[in-house]
Amino acid sequence: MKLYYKLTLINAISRIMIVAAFLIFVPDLIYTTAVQHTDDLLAKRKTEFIHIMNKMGINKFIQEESDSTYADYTIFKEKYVSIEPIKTAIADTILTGRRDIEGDTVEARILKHSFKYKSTNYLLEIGESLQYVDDLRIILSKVALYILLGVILLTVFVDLSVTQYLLRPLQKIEAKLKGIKTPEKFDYTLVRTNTTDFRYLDRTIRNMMRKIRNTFYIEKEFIANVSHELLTPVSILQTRLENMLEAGNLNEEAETKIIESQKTLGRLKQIIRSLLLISQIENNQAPKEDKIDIPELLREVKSEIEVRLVEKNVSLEVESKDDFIFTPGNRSLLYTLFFNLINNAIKYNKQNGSIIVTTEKVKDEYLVLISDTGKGIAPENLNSIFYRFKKFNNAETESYGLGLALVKTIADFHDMDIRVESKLGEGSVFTVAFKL
Amino acid sequence: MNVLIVEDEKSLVKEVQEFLKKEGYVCEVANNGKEASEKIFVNPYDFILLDLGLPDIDGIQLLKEAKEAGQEASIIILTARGSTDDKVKGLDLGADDYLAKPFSLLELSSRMQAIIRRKHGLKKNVIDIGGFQVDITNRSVHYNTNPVSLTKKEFDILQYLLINKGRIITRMQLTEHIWDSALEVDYDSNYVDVHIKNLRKKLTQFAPVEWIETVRGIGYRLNLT
Repeated sequence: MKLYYKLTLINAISRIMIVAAFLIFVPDLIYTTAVQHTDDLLAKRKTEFIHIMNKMGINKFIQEESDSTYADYTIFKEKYVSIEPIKTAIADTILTGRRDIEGDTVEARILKHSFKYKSTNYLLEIGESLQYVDDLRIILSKVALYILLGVILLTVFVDLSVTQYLLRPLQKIEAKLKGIKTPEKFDYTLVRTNTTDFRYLDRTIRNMMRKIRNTFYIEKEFIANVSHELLTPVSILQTRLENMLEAGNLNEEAETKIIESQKTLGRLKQIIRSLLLISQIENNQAPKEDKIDIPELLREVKSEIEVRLVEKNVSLEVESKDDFIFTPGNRSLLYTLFFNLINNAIKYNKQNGSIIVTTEKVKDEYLVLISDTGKGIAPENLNSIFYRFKKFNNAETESYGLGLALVKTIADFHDMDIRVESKLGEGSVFTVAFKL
Repeated sequence: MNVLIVEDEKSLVKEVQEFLKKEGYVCEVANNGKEASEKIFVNPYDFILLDLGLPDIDGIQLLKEAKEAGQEASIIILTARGSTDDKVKGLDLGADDYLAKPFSLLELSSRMQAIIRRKHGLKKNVIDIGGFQVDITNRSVHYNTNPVSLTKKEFDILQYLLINKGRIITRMQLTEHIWDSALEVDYDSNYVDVHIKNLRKKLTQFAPVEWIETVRGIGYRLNLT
């Protein structure tokens, strides 16, 4: 998940939690506060009542009612006072209870106080209805819910835009890194930001890219120079050996040795030429202007390579149903790519083995699959077969370990993908994927 | 035929010179651009073998000068640079051929012969060998009037042996000639032998080809007799 969405999500969740907590606790808090307030009020009324009673005498209240009981209600039954005689005195208590008041049941906060008047114990009850507290609680909850929902929506919206604004440099850095295959293609201009973290990140990436680019450059230069410098002495040796053979005055043993030396020299030549070619392609010194009919190219490679099948009696089938013209590309490089892949399939095949080359269009790719019945590649080697001078199971075949490195370089040059699947002892499938 | 070898590597010059002398060419040498420039301006040559990587003057510049000075020599570029850019530029400026270093002397000589044929208007470029007529220009082979159908590689091999007749051609030289630019060529393998076998089979249908001789362990030779 992207950081942007994560931040927004976390903000939203934390807000919702705060609101939920608010909704859960606030009504109770209000209730408790209201009750507390009511209790204080009741205590005050009690004091007032006792004061009035002491002044006026209890009979004023009791005589008006029968059974020595006194009760007084407000018209809406929100408050009431009652006095009745009891046998034993009790301690002052405040409780929430229901009282039947003239037929209605009312929930109320009730203060009970007992006092002695002329040797009779009386119980004084002062009540206050809690109806309004309940109402208040419901109203408050509703209002709070609406307001908070609104606040959440608003803040999430604000968060989204603020986060996006803050994270924009990061997205820019990400965009710079996306889709670059070589450090040459990296955009070295710094992203404008005053967030120090991003600035640090951006600068670090840029510096590392520069380092990689320089290392690449030095390596390429080195290979090109070395190869080039090696070609001249190799030229001298080759012509000298040829002249020695031409002279025709050597004995057979010397002649054989010279021919062997020519072969060795030939090998050296191939290595240097492959390295030079790889470095040229990597330096983008190869033209890329051809329109290439891939199925036709495959058939051409087949007819050229057929002579190599004889030695191991390997069969080679090329089945390409889908037409595909690749452009712009370098025909001779692509020829080399397929030649090397099929040549490998022959080289590492078993006696009477087979090679099948097929093509298919899958989604946005045109695939060329080269399957062989060869020795296969061990899983631990699969990742490194495209490295220079990596060689495996070549005890019996001559190889310089550059064929696949060249294949990879050519593929990268054309923005193509190369994939390998292999089972040891059963064979390998090399897939060349062109982007459509 | 007069050849000017423009090359700063003296050991290489020595070998090329030795070979060409045997082939009947008269050689002159220029070890740097300045020397070459003077010689090109003064003397007429049939061939100039031009190294592009000279210490003082860019070979391409020298090529331009030669053409502007009206030099009629056929120019073969020899270079270790190996960039296709140079090749295209050189050929555009009027060079006749291009050989990448390291090159085989036999390859050089056969390229020179091809240029001679082209330049001296040998329109009917047919060589007769063992009753076969090999047409170098049209790349075809006939026995009497019957066409012999050869693949490109088979014809290349036959032609190369023909140009170098009487001389032993090693497998490696043949391989290099027919797989000009292919990489990872295996010199020890017998692909050339397969081609020769097929070539022999095709020709034998018309007449015996004992003139294609296998030189054990080395390669092949085309016998004149």
